[in-house]
Amino acid sequence: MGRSFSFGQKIGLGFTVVALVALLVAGLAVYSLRAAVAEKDRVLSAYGRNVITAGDLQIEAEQRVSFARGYFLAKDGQFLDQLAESRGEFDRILAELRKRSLSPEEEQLLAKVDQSARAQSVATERVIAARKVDEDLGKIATQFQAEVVPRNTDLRKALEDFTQLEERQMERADRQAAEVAAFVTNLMIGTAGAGVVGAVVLAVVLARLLGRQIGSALHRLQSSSSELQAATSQQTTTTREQATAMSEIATTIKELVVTARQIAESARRVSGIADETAAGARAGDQTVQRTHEAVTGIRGQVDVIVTHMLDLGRKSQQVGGILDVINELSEQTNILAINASIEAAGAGEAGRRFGVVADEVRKLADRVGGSTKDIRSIIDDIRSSIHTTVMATEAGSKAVDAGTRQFGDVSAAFREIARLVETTTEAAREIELSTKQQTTAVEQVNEAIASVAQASRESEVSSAQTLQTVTELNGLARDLARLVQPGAGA
Amino acid sequence: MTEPANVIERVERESVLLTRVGSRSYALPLAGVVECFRPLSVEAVAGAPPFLLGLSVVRGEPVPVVDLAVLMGNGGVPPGRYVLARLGERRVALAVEEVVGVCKLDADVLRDLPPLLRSADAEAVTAVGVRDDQLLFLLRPARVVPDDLWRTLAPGRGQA
Repeated sequence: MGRSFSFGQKIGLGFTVVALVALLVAGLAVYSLRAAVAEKDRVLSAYGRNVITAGDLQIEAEQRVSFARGYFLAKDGQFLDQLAESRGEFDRILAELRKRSLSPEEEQLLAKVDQSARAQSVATERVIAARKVDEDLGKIATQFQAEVVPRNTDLRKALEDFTQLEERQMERADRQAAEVAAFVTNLMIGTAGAGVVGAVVLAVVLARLLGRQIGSALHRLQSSSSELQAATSQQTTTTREQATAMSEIATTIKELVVTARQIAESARRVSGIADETAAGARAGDQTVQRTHEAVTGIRGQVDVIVTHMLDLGRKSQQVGGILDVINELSEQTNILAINASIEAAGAGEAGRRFGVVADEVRKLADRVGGSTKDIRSIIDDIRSSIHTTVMATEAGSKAVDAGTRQFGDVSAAFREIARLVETTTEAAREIELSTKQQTTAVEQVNEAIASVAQASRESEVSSAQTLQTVTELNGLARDLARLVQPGAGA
Repeated sequence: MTEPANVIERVERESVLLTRVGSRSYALPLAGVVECFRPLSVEAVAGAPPFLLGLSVVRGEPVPVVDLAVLMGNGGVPPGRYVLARLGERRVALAVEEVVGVCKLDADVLRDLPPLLRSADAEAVTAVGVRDDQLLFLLRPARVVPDDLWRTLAPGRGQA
């Protein structure tokens, strides 16, 4: 009995097995009885018919003797015909008997009957032949008594033997049939007993198996019911918490709606400020453009200054060249004046006045030399200043270049600011729109949350009912367990 | 060195050419001075003493050029003028830094040469003094170039 069978199937199967055993016992009994009866009938009829046929043969044999005696007495040919007819009947009956299924012993006895019948016929024919030629009845009677009667007695004896054999066999068959009937009776009793024992064992096994399985199922049902009870209890708690959480969510969502409205307002303000910023950036860009133009003008002026300064430097260099010439001249004059003084001194008194003039010339030359030194110093200062100015102007020019480039950058930055601010404005408008949509959506969510909160409360009530039902179910399972397994109900 | 008093006395009467080398002034008696001019190119002479810069061609004649700064022991001053001095038949160019001019020296400016300086090496100086807080040396051009040097240079001059 597999575990997959249901209880109904198992019980049905058990009863089916019992019914089959009962049916088998009944069938066996009927079959055995019928077989025994049939066997008995068959044996009795076969042996009975043999006995009856043997009786017929006996009668025919007696008739043959009677017909022979009739002829002997009357010497009438009619008796001979009847005798032949009787003999033919005897042979026919004997042949019919020998056709039946017979044992060797029966065959042997019948052969003896046949032999005795033939011997009797031969003896009878001999006496008849004697009668046909001889009229003496006495002699015939003596001959008859001497030849035919012993043969006839043998025949009768043979037939009686056969009849007795058949009767013995019939008695034996009867005994055998009685034994078979007794055996069948015993067999039926044994089979019925075995069937009863099997049914009892089957009932016990089935009861135990079903009890164990039902007990196990009940145990599982009990534990499942307990778990279900715990789960339902927890679910009730959870549902209550869920309802509380839903209330909190609803409150939060209300705050969210307020915040979203504030965000929309802020986005609108951002959009306005971005517009103003874009205007400011455009104005700044224009200012930068104008400043750029002014700086470009300054750069041209600086270039002019640099050109003039370089020109001034070249001219101061030319002045230096002229000064070199003057210095050379003053030096020459100095040497000439000294040499003139030497010559004047060599001329004695006559050269005295010339010497004085030469000395004055030398002093003038010295003063010219000193002045050229001063002028050179001043020109050097001027050139140094020009150099410094040119350097400073070039640095300024570079700074102006850098400034011009930076003005380009600043202008590009202002344009970028304007572009970004436009993007910001667009984004702020989108934010405003999105936030409005969000507000609507959140309000819808709020309504949905309120519905969910209501559902949670109803679910809480439902959970409490479920808990009660589960508690009852648990008690029911315990009662059922007590019914199935009295010891294990607790 | 003989009769310094006479030299000083004569100097009082004669004019001198006042030159300057570094912080020292050197006076040359005007009678021995031919002229002054700018430094010319100088050809160095092998085996010459350090104070002899070499030979220069002055008015078609080779003239030895003596660096007065090296000769008088305050070397390292670049020459600014050459002074051509006359020594009888010979002529010598003295390289100085600057020619101040022709003047007459006061007698009290000059002193006799201290005994420590009276050696053969210092024959060129005849007197020493102080002018405008600067040392003043009165030179004797005839002794500026030693005689043996003149002998070394004589064949050159003969060839020129």
